[in-house]
Amino acid sequence: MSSPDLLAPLDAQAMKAIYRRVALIRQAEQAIGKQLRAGRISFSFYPVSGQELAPSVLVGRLGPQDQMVTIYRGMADILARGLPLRQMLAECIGHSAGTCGGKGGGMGLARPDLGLMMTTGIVGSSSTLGVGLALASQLQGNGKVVTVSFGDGATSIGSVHEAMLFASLWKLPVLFVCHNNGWAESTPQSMYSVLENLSERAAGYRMPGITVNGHDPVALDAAFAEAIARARKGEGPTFIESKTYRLGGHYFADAGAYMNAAELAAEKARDPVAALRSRLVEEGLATEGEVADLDAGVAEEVERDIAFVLETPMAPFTTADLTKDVYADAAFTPIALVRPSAPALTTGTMRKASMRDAFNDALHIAMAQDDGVIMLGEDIADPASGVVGISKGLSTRFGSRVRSTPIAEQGIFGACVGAALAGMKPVGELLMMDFLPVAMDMMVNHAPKARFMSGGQTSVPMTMMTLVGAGNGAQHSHSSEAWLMHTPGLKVCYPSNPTDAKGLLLSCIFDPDPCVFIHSMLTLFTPGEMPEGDYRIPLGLAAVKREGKDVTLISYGPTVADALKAADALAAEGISAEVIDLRSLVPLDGQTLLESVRKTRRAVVAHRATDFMGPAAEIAAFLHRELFGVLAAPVARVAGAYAPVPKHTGLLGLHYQGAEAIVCAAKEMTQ
Amino acid sequence: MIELKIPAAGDAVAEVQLVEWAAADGATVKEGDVLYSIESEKSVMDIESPASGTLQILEQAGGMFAVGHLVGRIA
Repeated sequence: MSSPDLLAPLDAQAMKAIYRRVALIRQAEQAIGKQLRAGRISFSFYPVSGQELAPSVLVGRLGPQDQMVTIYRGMADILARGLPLRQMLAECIGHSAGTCGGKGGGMGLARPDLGLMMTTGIVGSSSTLGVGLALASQLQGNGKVVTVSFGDGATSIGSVHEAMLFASLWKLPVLFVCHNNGWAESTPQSMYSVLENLSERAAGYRMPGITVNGHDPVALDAAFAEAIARARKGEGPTFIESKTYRLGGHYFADAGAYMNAAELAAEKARDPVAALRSRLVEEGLATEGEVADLDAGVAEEVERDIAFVLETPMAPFTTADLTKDVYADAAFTPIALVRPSAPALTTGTMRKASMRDAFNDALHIAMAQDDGVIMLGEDIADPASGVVGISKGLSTRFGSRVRSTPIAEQGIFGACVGAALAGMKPVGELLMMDFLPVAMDMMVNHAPKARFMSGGQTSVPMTMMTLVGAGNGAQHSHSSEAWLMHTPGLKVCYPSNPTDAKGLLLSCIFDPDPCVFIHSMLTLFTPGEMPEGDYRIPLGLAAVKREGKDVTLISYGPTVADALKAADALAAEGISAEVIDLRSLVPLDGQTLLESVRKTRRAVVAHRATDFMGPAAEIAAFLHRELFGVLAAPVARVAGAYAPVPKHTGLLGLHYQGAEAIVCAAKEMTQ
Repeated sequence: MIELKIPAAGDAVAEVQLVEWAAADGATVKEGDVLYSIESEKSVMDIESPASGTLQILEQAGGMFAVGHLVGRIA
């Protein structure tokens, strides 16, 4: 990989290249505006006039393997980096000729072979993704530098701060490029910040923070060159604030009535694009004729590409295209009607183990097998080895691939998503499932959507492990799997015993899609056993724990023990219950469910999660739809009450009533 | 014949007011000429002609119209 000479100042050729990029961005914006005004195209357009220069300078200092993450106002980054206008604009309007096939739109532009790893429509999230990409670069030792773009308004949001902390703590090769255009949507900086220069934020993270005139290519170039050199040398991140002014509203057709007209007029009078053009000629870096030729060349390119987008017919599509790239398997459905073939468990001898031991063993096996497997989480490094001891010995054995992190879930899971985008297989530990909302932006907006938004160009093969507490009240005991099951793109599993826990965790770690692996404090330390060595249990394969003929008890996780206990009680009363452990919730093993309930004609679905809109509702709907004429009784549900989990032990027993309630439900439908 | 439809004037805008026509019914217009202006809660926007020709006005100024509504033609 050849990078531009970081010590050389900008020469005439480099300045002309910068001008050409700037001119392309400006002319493209004007041409797009014209088409929008004429009603020929329609999309949410966030103009970049006034802030073209910094991206145009930055890309001149990046090597071909370096990576960028940008945001919805990212047109300048995208075009400067070299994505053809026609592919960008087609994507913006949701056209099949777009760089992502029209699935991502202007807020989802990606082109990984150009280093354009992801565009996000969520303010601030570019920075935590960038941290993950930079972590991958550091661990893979490939020298890639990562730049993240965001606006001034993003410096208020937590994810940017978490990203700055992680990057500084781990000396990651990343540049935080803040395009300060003076406006957080329609709120001026003076109304949302106490700082004069937003680069002051960097001091709190012991990171160089520089404010640069965003109209001055030489100053920008010097700042970027130094920051890139620092990143490549392993000396860590830099925060660069490029001060510009947004020469229009927040979005196209936003007339900017809240903007000061005199101030805007003054800023338009010192338009950085016109100023750069004059400077080239005045400083003898280019003749008027050369600049005119550059303008004309850009105009021709813009006209040709706009015409291409307007004239290219949309490719034919079918409903299959809708679900393509949600998962690696285009045929994926959340309820699978065909079971995956079950590989035989290894002949490895069984040994005594708790679920915690199983996790630890699986992580050791995965990390020894593949350098791409890394682990991030609070307290996970030795000697603490995690709050419940899952990661014992991992950091001692695998060094910097296993890192205790700051208590910052947006940072942890942003880093996981980013590292996964770079091809690693990160495992992130979310200490308690109740902290899921803090990590939800990454687990809902990024991990499960990247493959789809990029039209299959990227993927996020990461795993989140998380623990459901027991008896710890409303904020440390909730089962929130339904939120995740409701998110297309995620896979979810929740095992009940050590053998399944190990085999499923290994499947999740090496799965091409993002997986959430849930486990419970109620089963974590239960004595059990597991096979030695590497084996996998495929996602989407339920286990019949006990055969029966009168009723099917369907459950997962710690509730399986309740179902088995209920089956014993029912047997004593002459009722034969079949018990199914789902093991995997997405995909769900529909075939095993149908086979069992077709036989027993009755089903009780049990889980600790809240009954209303819980997993049992979907399972009941599925069984009613598929077996309407077969069922002897409506499917019954035993689940958590529609209330937060109480600490009060008496009330806790009422919240989820366990085996007794399962027995009652089963008896009611068999009488 | 080119149809003139109300363009989307930003996020979450479903309906706009056609404030005024800048050219008269039957007038000859050139591509790029301002034809009419629209106003939504957040913005005012001039709409340019996508083609040259004769303007046929189908909807009068002052009315509220949904995005995509046909308001005129260029013949």
